[in-house]
Amino acid sequence: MARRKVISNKKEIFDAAFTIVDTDGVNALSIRHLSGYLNVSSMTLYNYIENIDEVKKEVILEGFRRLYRNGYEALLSIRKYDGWIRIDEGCRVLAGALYHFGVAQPHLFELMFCTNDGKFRKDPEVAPFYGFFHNLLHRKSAPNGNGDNGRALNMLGHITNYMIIERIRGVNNTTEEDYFEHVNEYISKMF
Amino acid sequence: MDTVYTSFLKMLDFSDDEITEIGDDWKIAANAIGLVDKDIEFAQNVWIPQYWDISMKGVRLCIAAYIRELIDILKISEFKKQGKKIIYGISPSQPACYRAIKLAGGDDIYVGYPDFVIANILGPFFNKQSLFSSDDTYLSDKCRHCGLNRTRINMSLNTIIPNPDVIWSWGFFCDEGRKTEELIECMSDNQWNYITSVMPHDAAFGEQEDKNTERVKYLAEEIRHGHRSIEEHTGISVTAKHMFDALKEYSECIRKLDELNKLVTNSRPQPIGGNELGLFGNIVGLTLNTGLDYFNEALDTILDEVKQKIENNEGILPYDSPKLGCHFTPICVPWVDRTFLQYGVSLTFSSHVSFSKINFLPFDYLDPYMISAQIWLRNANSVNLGSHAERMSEMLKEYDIDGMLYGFFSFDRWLGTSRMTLEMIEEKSGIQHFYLEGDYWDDRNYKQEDRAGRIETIAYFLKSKKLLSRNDG
Repeated sequence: MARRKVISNKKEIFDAAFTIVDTDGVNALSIRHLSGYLNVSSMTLYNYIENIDEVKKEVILEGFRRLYRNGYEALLSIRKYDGWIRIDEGCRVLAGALYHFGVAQPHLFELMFCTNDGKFRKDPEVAPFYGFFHNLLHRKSAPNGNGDNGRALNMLGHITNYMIIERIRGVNNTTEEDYFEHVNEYISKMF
Repeated sequence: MDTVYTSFLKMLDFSDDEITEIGDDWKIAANAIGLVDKDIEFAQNVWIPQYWDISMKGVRLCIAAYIRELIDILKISEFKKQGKKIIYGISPSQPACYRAIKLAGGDDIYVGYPDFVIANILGPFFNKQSLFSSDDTYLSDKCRHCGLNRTRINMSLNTIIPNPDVIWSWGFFCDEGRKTEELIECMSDNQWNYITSVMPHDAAFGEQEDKNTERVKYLAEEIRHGHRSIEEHTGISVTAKHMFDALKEYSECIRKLDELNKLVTNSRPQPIGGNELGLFGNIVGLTLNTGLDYFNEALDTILDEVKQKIENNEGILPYDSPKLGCHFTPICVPWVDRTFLQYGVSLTFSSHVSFSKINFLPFDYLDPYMISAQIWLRNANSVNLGSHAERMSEMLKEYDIDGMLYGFFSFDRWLGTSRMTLEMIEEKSGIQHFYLEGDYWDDRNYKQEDRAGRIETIAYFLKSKKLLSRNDG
C-alpha cells in the first residue's frame, strides 16, 4: 500500500503514539515506528512535529488527564452528603486511583514517572501535574493540628510510585493487598 | 430593507437612526477587512451567540463600541484627504498619553490603534484571521510573531490603512513593535514616520521603580519627548491640561473596570465569564478615536447587570466551581474560556489588565508626565522581574481564585526568566499556576481539539482539590 502524504491533524499522531506506548512499551516509541504505524514517511511526520520528545510530552499529558480523571471520579464516589472528605480518606482514595492507573497502563506509568531523567518534569505545561498527592492535599496548616503535611505527602508519593513500579517490573510479587496494607499503615501513622 | 449588515447592527442595539446613518459605512468597513455577507451571518447566528453572552446589554454595547471604532478606522483615508492629521499608537502602552493628543487636536486629528482594534474584532466576533494570513511573506506566523505586528504590516501592505503622519511606537514594553515600524518603512514606497520611546530595563531585581525619582523622571522625559516629536510632525501641541484631562478620563474608567474585575471574580457564583470580562479589560491599553463615551456606557451597563445577577444569585457555574485567574484571557480565541466552562471551571480576571492597591495610591508628583510615568512603573508588568513577582502576588491575594493560567504568548515572553518569576509568584501567593501553550491572537497552530485534553486535566485537578478543600472549614 502506498504511503500517505498527509496526516489529518496532530491528534492523529498523538493517538497513534499513545497506542504504541500502551501496547509495546516506551522503548517502541520512535519516529520510525510511529511513521510506519501511520503509513507515512518520517519526513512527512516531521512536517507536523518537531521531534520525538514533542510526541512523548503529549503522551505524558494524556496520561495525566486519565490519572486526574480517575482521581476525581474516585473522590466523587466517596463524597458524603455534605461534601466532607478527610485528608486520610483522600490519601487512600487517590492511592487507589494511582495504583489502578499504574497496573492498567504500566508502560504509560513508566513513561510518566521513570524515564527521561526528569526532562518533562521541568516542562511548564507538564510540571504542575507531578506530585499527585501534594498537589491535591497539601495544607500548610493541616486540620488535624499536624502542621504542614507537604513532606508526608511527598513521601507517600515516593512510596506508592516505588511499589507500583516494582509491581509493574515484576521485581517482587507485591499484591494489591500488600500495596494497600503498606499505604494504609503509612497514612494512619502520618495523617 | 434589512440586510445582513443592518441586522448585525440591530443585534448590537444600534438605533434605527444610527443604522441609517452608518449602515453603509459599516458594510464598507467590514468588506475592507475581508468580511463578506456570509461572515456577518455566521457571526450573528453562530459565533457570537456561542462565545459571547449577548443576553447582557453591556456586552452588546461593548461589541458595538469596537464596531464604531472599526468604522472610524476605515475612514482614515478620507480623514487624510480632508487634511486631518493621522496618528497611530501601538499596544501595550499607556492610552492616556495618546488620548491627550486627541484632546489637543480634537476633530482635526485621528488618534487610535487600528491593528489592535481590528485584531480584537476579527478573531473574537468573526473567527476570521484574514489579516494575519493574507500575506505571510513578512512576519510569518510560522516564525511566531505577534498578531498585532502581523496585522499592522498586512494592513499597511494591503493599504487598508494609509500611512500615518506619525506612529508613536511605545517601546517601554514591546521590543518587536519598533522593529516592525522599521521593516514597514523599508518596504513602504511612501514615508512611514515613526517615533520610538524606550527606556533601559536595567533596574535592580526587586527595586520599586515607581519610588526611584530619577527613573520616574527619565520615563517622564521620554513621554514628553514623544509629545514634542509628534508636535514636530503634526503641529499639534499637547499641554499639561490635556494630559491631566486624559489621565482623569482613564483613571475614572479604570476604577470602574477594577470594580467589575473584583465583583465578577470575588462573587460566587460567578456572574459573567472570562471572555466578557476580557472584552472590557482591553480598554486599559487602548485609545479609541471615537472616545470613551460608548465604552463607558457599556461599562456602566455591565456593572449594573452584574450587580443584579449577584443579588439574584445567578451565575455561569454552580456556587463552588473552581475559578482561574488568567494572565491575559485570550478573547481572540474565545473557545478557550468556553472550553474551561464546559469542564466546570471559569476564567476570571486578566492580571495583565487588572490592578492592586498600589495602583490606586496617591501620586508623589504634580507634573502630569511624572504622574504618567509613575502610573506606568506601578504596573506589575512594566517593571523588573523581582518587583513584578512581588506585585503580582499582592494582586492575586485580592482575588478569590483557585489557580492562575498563563500562556498564549508563545511568540513573545515565555523565556526562562519569566518561568522563574512564575515560580516566585506561586511561592509568594500560594496559588497554583498552570501554563497552556498557545497564541493569544489566532489558533492556527493551537487547535481546540489539541488543547481540550490539557484544559480537561486542569479542570480535574482543580475540581479534585475543591472536593478535598471542604474539610478546611
